[in-house]
Amino acid sequence: MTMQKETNFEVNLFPVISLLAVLISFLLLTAVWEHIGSLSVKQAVGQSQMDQNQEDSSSLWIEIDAQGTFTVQIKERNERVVQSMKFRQSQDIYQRLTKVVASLHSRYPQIHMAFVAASAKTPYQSVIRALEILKLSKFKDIGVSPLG
Amino acid sequence: MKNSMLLNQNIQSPVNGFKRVRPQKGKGSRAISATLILTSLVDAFSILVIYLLVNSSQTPHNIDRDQSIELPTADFSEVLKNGLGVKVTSHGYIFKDQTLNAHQLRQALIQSLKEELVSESDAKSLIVQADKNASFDQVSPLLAIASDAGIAEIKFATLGSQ
Repeated sequence: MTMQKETNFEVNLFPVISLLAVLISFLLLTAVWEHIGSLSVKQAVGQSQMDQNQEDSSSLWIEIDAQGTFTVQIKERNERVVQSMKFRQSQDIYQRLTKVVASLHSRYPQIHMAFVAASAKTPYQSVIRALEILKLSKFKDIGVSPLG
Repeated sequence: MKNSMLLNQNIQSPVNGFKRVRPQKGKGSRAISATLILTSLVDAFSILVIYLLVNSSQTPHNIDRDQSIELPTADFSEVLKNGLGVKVTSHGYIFKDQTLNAHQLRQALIQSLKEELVSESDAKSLIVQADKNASFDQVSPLLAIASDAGIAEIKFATLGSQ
Protein backbone atom coordinates (compact mmCIF):
# COMPACT_ATOMS: atom_id res chain seq x y z
CA MET A 1 0.00 0.00 0.00
CA THR A 2 1.60 3.16 -1.13
CA MET A 3 0.45 6.39 0.36
CA GLN A 4 1.00 9.20 -2.12
CA LYS A 5 0.45 12.58 -0.61
CA GLU A 6 0.65 15.51 -2.97
CA THR A 7 3.18 18.04 -1.84
CA ASN A 8 3.49 21.49 -3.28
CA PHE A 9 6.91 23.07 -3.27
CA GLU A 10 5.80 26.45 -4.57
CA VAL A 11 7.07 29.31 -2.48
CA ASN A 12 4.16 31.37 -1.32
CA LEU A 13 4.96 34.81 -2.68
CA PHE A 14 1.88 36.63 -1.46
CA PRO A 15 3.35 37.57 1.95
CA VAL A 16 6.51 38.82 0.19
CA ILE A 17 4.44 40.99 -2.13
CA SER A 18 2.38 42.30 0.78
CA LEU A 19 5.52 43.18 2.68
CA LEU A 20 7.06 44.94 -0.31
CA ALA A 21 3.84 46.82 -0.98
CA VAL A 22 3.79 48.10 2.61
CA LEU A 23 7.47 49.05 2.33
CA ILE A 24 6.91 50.93 -0.94
CA SER A 25 3.94 52.81 0.51
CA PHE A 26 5.98 53.78 3.57
CA LEU A 27 8.95 54.94 1.48
CA LEU A 28 6.72 56.91 -0.89
CA LEU A 29 5.09 58.69 2.02
CA THR A 30 8.30 59.51 3.84
CA ALA A 31 10.57 60.25 0.86
CA VAL A 32 11.96 63.76 0.45
CA TRP A 33 11.76 64.52 -3.24
CA GLU A 34 13.30 67.98 -3.32
CA HIS A 35 16.95 68.00 -4.28
CA ILE A 36 19.05 70.30 -2.12
CA GLY A 37 22.30 71.28 -3.76
CA SER A 38 24.83 74.01 -3.14
CA LEU A 39 26.89 76.66 -4.88
CA SER A 40 30.23 77.08 -3.18
CA VAL A 41 32.53 80.09 -3.08
CA LYS A 42 36.00 80.35 -1.64
CA GLN A 43 37.38 83.31 0.21
CA ALA A 44 40.51 84.45 1.98
CA VAL A 45 40.70 83.37 5.63
CA GLY A 46 41.64 85.81 8.38
CA GLN A 47 44.32 88.26 7.36
CA SER A 48 45.80 86.15 4.56
CA GLN A 49 46.31 87.77 1.21
CA MET A 50 45.24 86.44 -2.15
CA ASP A 51 47.77 84.59 -4.22
CA GLN A 52 50.11 87.22 -5.64
CA ASN A 53 51.72 84.92 -8.18
CA GLN A 54 48.81 84.70 -10.55
CA GLU A 55 49.83 84.73 -14.19
CA ASP A 56 47.13 87.20 -15.01
CA SER A 57 45.20 88.70 -12.16
CA SER A 58 42.45 90.15 -14.31
CA SER A 59 39.04 89.16 -13.14
CA LEU A 60 35.43 89.11 -14.26
CA TRP A 61 32.90 90.93 -12.11
CA ILE A 62 29.13 90.70 -12.12
CA GLU A 63 27.73 93.67 -10.24
CA ILE A 64 24.07 93.70 -9.25
CA ASP A 65 22.40 96.88 -8.02
CA ALA A 66 19.19 97.23 -6.03
CA GLN A 67 17.11 97.72 -9.20
CA GLY A 68 18.27 94.35 -10.50
CA THR A 69 20.58 95.74 -13.17
CA PHE A 70 23.52 93.46 -13.92
CA THR A 71 26.87 94.91 -15.00
CA VAL A 72 29.47 92.51 -16.37
CA GLN A 73 33.00 93.86 -16.24
CA ILE A 74 36.50 92.68 -16.98
CA LYS A 75 38.85 94.35 -14.53
CA GLU A 76 42.62 94.42 -14.45
CA ARG A 77 44.63 94.13 -11.26
CA ASN A 78 44.73 97.89 -10.78
CA GLU A 79 40.90 98.00 -10.93
CA ARG A 80 41.02 99.42 -14.46
CA VAL A 81 37.90 98.33 -16.33
CA VAL A 82 38.76 96.76 -19.69
CA GLN A 83 35.23 95.96 -20.79
CA SER A 84 31.82 96.68 -19.34
CA MET A 85 28.29 95.67 -20.28
CA LYS A 86 24.98 96.53 -18.63
CA PHE A 87 21.86 94.36 -18.56
CA ARG A 88 18.58 95.74 -17.33
CA GLN A 89 15.89 93.48 -15.86
CA SER A 90 14.04 91.52 -18.51
CA GLN A 91 12.54 88.08 -18.91
CA ASP A 92 15.54 86.59 -20.69
CA ILE A 93 18.22 88.39 -18.68
CA TYR A 94 19.77 85.18 -17.32
CA GLN A 95 19.99 83.55 -20.75
CA ARG A 96 21.65 86.67 -22.17
CA LEU A 97 24.03 86.89 -19.21
CA THR A 98 24.99 83.22 -19.55
CA LYS A 99 25.84 83.74 -23.23
CA VAL A 100 27.84 86.90 -22.58
CA VAL A 101 29.83 85.46 -19.66
CA ALA A 102 30.59 82.29 -21.65
CA SER A 103 31.79 84.31 -24.63
CA LEU A 104 33.94 86.54 -22.39
CA HIS A 105 35.50 83.46 -20.78
CA SER A 106 36.35 82.00 -24.17
CA ARG A 107 37.76 85.37 -25.27
CA TYR A 108 39.86 85.76 -22.11
CA PRO A 109 40.75 82.15 -21.21
CA GLN A 110 43.54 83.33 -18.87
CA ILE A 111 40.96 84.75 -16.45
CA HIS A 112 40.16 82.26 -13.70
CA MET A 113 38.79 84.62 -11.05
CA ALA A 114 35.22 85.85 -11.04
CA PHE A 115 33.28 87.82 -8.46
CA VAL A 116 29.71 88.67 -7.74
CA ALA A 117 29.27 92.08 -6.12
CA ALA A 118 25.80 92.84 -4.88
CA SER A 119 24.27 95.90 -3.25
CA ALA A 120 22.59 95.64 0.16
CA LYS A 121 19.05 95.50 -1.25
CA THR A 122 19.77 92.98 -4.00
CA PRO A 123 17.54 89.89 -3.68
CA TYR A 124 19.46 86.80 -2.61
CA GLN A 125 17.99 84.86 -5.57
CA SER A 126 19.75 87.22 -8.01
CA VAL A 127 23.11 86.61 -6.31
CA ILE A 128 22.57 82.85 -6.57
CA ARG A 129 21.66 83.19 -10.27
CA ALA A 130 24.85 85.16 -10.91
CA LEU A 131 26.90 82.50 -9.09
CA GLU A 132 25.22 79.80 -11.14
CA ILE A 133 26.12 81.59 -14.38
CA LEU A 134 29.77 81.78 -13.31
CA LYS A 135 29.78 78.08 -12.33
CA LEU A 136 28.26 77.19 -15.70
CA SER A 137 31.05 79.10 -17.44
CA LYS A 138 33.56 77.01 -15.45
CA PHE A 139 35.40 79.76 -13.57
CA LYS A 140 37.76 78.21 -11.03
CA ASP A 141 37.84 80.85 -8.30
CA ILE A 142 34.52 82.45 -7.55
CA GLY A 143 33.95 84.98 -4.79
CA VAL A 144 31.15 87.13 -3.43
CA SER A 145 31.49 90.64 -2.08
CA PRO A 146 29.25 93.55 -1.10
CA LEU A 147 28.98 96.31 -3.68
CA GLY A 148 30.36 99.72 -2.86
CA MET B 1 11.50 10.77 5.70
CA LYS B 2 8.05 9.86 6.97
CA ASN B 3 8.25 12.57 9.57
CA SER B 4 9.34 15.21 7.10
CA MET B 5 7.84 18.61 7.77
CA LEU B 6 7.06 19.10 4.12
CA LEU B 7 4.96 15.93 3.92
CA ASN B 8 2.75 17.02 6.74
CA GLN B 9 2.12 20.40 5.28
CA ASN B 10 -0.78 20.66 2.94
CA ILE B 11 0.26 23.64 0.90
CA GLN B 12 -2.27 24.58 -1.69
CA SER B 13 -1.63 26.96 -4.50
CA PRO B 14 -4.15 29.81 -4.17
CA VAL B 15 -4.92 29.58 -7.89
CA ASN B 16 -5.84 25.88 -7.63
CA GLY B 17 -8.62 26.74 -5.24
CA PHE B 18 -10.66 28.54 -7.86
CA LYS B 19 -13.22 26.36 -9.57
CA ARG B 20 -13.18 28.34 -12.78
CA VAL B 21 -9.51 27.70 -13.22
CA ARG B 22 -9.62 24.06 -12.16
CA PRO B 23 -13.12 22.60 -12.76
CA GLN B 24 -13.87 19.43 -10.77
CA LYS B 25 -16.22 17.37 -12.98
CA GLY B 26 -18.30 17.55 -16.11
CA LYS B 27 -17.64 18.41 -19.66
CA GLY B 28 -15.14 21.14 -19.47
CA SER B 29 -13.02 19.46 -16.85
CA ARG B 30 -9.78 20.27 -18.62
CA ALA B 31 -7.59 22.27 -16.28
CA ILE B 32 -6.88 25.75 -17.47
CA SER B 33 -3.32 26.79 -16.85
CA ALA B 34 -3.65 30.32 -15.49
CA THR B 35 -1.06 30.67 -12.80
CA LEU B 36 -0.10 34.19 -11.92
CA ILE B 37 3.60 34.82 -12.50
CA LEU B 38 4.44 36.51 -9.25
CA THR B 39 8.24 36.30 -9.48
CA SER B 40 8.44 39.18 -11.95
CA LEU B 41 6.14 41.22 -9.72
CA VAL B 42 8.41 40.60 -6.74
CA ASP B 43 11.40 41.61 -8.89
CA ALA B 44 9.71 44.87 -9.90
CA PHE B 45 8.75 45.63 -6.31
CA SER B 46 12.27 44.90 -5.09
CA ILE B 47 13.77 47.27 -7.66
CA LEU B 48 11.28 49.94 -6.62
CA VAL B 49 12.15 49.50 -2.94
CA ILE B 50 15.90 49.72 -3.64
CA TYR B 51 15.40 52.84 -5.79
CA LEU B 52 13.33 54.54 -3.09
CA LEU B 53 15.81 53.61 -0.37
CA VAL B 54 18.75 55.02 -2.33
CA ASN B 55 17.04 58.24 -3.45
CA SER B 56 15.04 59.14 -0.39
CA SER B 57 17.92 60.38 1.78
CA GLN B 58 20.10 62.81 -0.14
CA THR B 59 20.34 65.53 2.45
CA PRO B 60 23.29 65.31 4.86
CA HIS B 61 22.32 64.41 8.40
CA ASN B 62 23.45 67.65 10.02
CA ILE B 63 21.44 69.82 7.61
CA ASP B 64 17.95 70.19 8.94
CA ARG B 65 15.76 71.82 6.38
CA ASP B 66 13.69 74.71 7.68
CA GLN B 67 10.34 74.76 5.89
CA SER B 68 9.85 78.46 6.62
CA ILE B 69 12.91 79.26 4.51
CA GLU B 70 12.25 79.10 0.79
CA LEU B 71 15.63 78.30 -0.72
CA PRO B 72 16.68 79.93 -4.01
CA THR B 73 16.48 77.74 -7.08
CA ALA B 74 19.45 76.76 -9.21
CA ASP B 75 19.54 74.30 -12.08
CA PHE B 76 23.27 73.81 -11.84
CA SER B 77 24.41 72.97 -8.33
CA GLU B 78 26.87 70.69 -6.60
CA VAL B 79 26.07 67.86 -4.22
CA LEU B 80 25.67 69.20 -0.71
CA LYS B 81 28.27 67.68 1.58
CA ASN B 82 28.66 68.02 5.30
CA GLY B 83 29.51 71.31 6.90
CA LEU B 84 28.39 73.73 9.57
CA GLY B 85 24.86 74.81 8.82
CA VAL B 86 23.65 78.36 9.45
CA LYS B 87 20.15 79.62 8.72
CA VAL B 88 19.56 83.28 7.96
CA THR B 89 16.29 84.70 9.29
CA SER B 90 14.95 88.20 9.86
CA HIS B 91 15.65 87.75 13.61
CA GLY B 92 19.28 86.77 13.22
CA TYR B 93 21.25 83.63 12.51
CA ILE B 94 20.20 80.16 13.65
CA PHE B 95 23.12 77.90 14.47
CA LYS B 96 22.57 74.59 16.26
CA ASP B 97 18.97 75.55 17.14
CA GLN B 98 20.05 78.83 18.77
CA THR B 99 19.23 82.27 17.46
CA LEU B 100 22.40 84.36 17.54
CA ASN B 101 23.57 87.78 16.47
CA ALA B 102 26.67 88.29 14.31
CA HIS B 103 29.12 88.48 17.23
CA GLN B 104 27.66 85.42 18.99
CA LEU B 105 27.72 83.47 15.73
CA ARG B 106 31.41 84.24 15.23
CA GLN B 107 32.21 82.91 18.70
CA ALA B 108 29.98 79.87 18.22
CA LEU B 109 31.62 78.96 14.92
CA ILE B 110 35.13 79.27 16.37
CA GLN B 111 34.10 77.16 19.36
CA SER B 112 32.43 74.59 17.16
CA LEU B 113 35.49 74.22 14.94
CA LYS B 114 37.67 73.69 18.03
CA GLU B 115 35.32 71.17 19.66
CA GLU B 116 34.65 69.04 16.64
CA LEU B 117 38.37 68.76 15.84
CA VAL B 118 37.68 69.14 12.17
CA SER B 119 40.08 67.04 10.15
CA GLU B 120 38.31 66.72 6.82
CA SER B 121 38.44 69.72 4.55
CA ASP B 122 34.80 69.14 3.58
CA ALA B 123 33.67 69.67 7.12
CA LYS B 124 35.41 73.04 7.32
CA SER B 125 32.79 74.76 5.29
CA LEU B 126 29.76 76.83 6.08
CA ILE B 127 26.39 75.91 4.61
CA VAL B 128 24.13 78.94 4.33
CA GLN B 129 20.37 78.52 4.22
CA ALA B 130 18.69 81.79 3.38
CA ASP B 131 15.32 82.69 1.92
CA LYS B 132 15.36 83.56 -1.77
CA ASN B 133 13.50 86.80 -1.07
CA ALA B 134 15.99 87.92 1.59
CA SER B 135 18.14 90.91 0.76
CA PHE B 136 21.87 90.48 0.33
CA ASP B 137 22.69 92.59 3.42
CA GLN B 138 21.22 89.78 5.56
CA VAL B 139 23.64 87.26 4.03
CA SER B 140 26.78 89.33 3.42
CA PRO B 141 27.87 89.61 7.11
CA LEU B 142 28.27 85.83 7.06
CA LEU B 143 31.17 86.17 4.61
CA ALA B 144 33.19 88.22 7.08
CA ILE B 145 32.12 86.07 10.04
CA ALA B 146 33.21 82.87 8.28
CA SER B 147 36.51 84.43 7.26
CA ASP B 148 37.22 85.50 10.86
CA ALA B 149 36.30 82.05 12.14
CA GLY B 150 38.74 80.42 9.70
CA ILE B 151 36.22 79.00 7.26
CA ALA B 152 37.36 79.37 3.67
CA GLU B 153 34.50 77.71 1.85
CA ILE B 154 30.94 78.95 1.91
CA LYS B 155 28.20 76.84 0.38
CA PHE B 156 24.90 78.48 -0.46
CA ALA B 157 22.14 75.89 -0.23
CA THR B 158 19.89 75.83 -3.28
CA LEU B 159 16.89 73.91 -4.43
CA GLY B 160 17.04 72.03 -7.72
CA SER B 161 14.31 73.26 -10.01
CA GLN B 162 13.94 69.87 -11.73
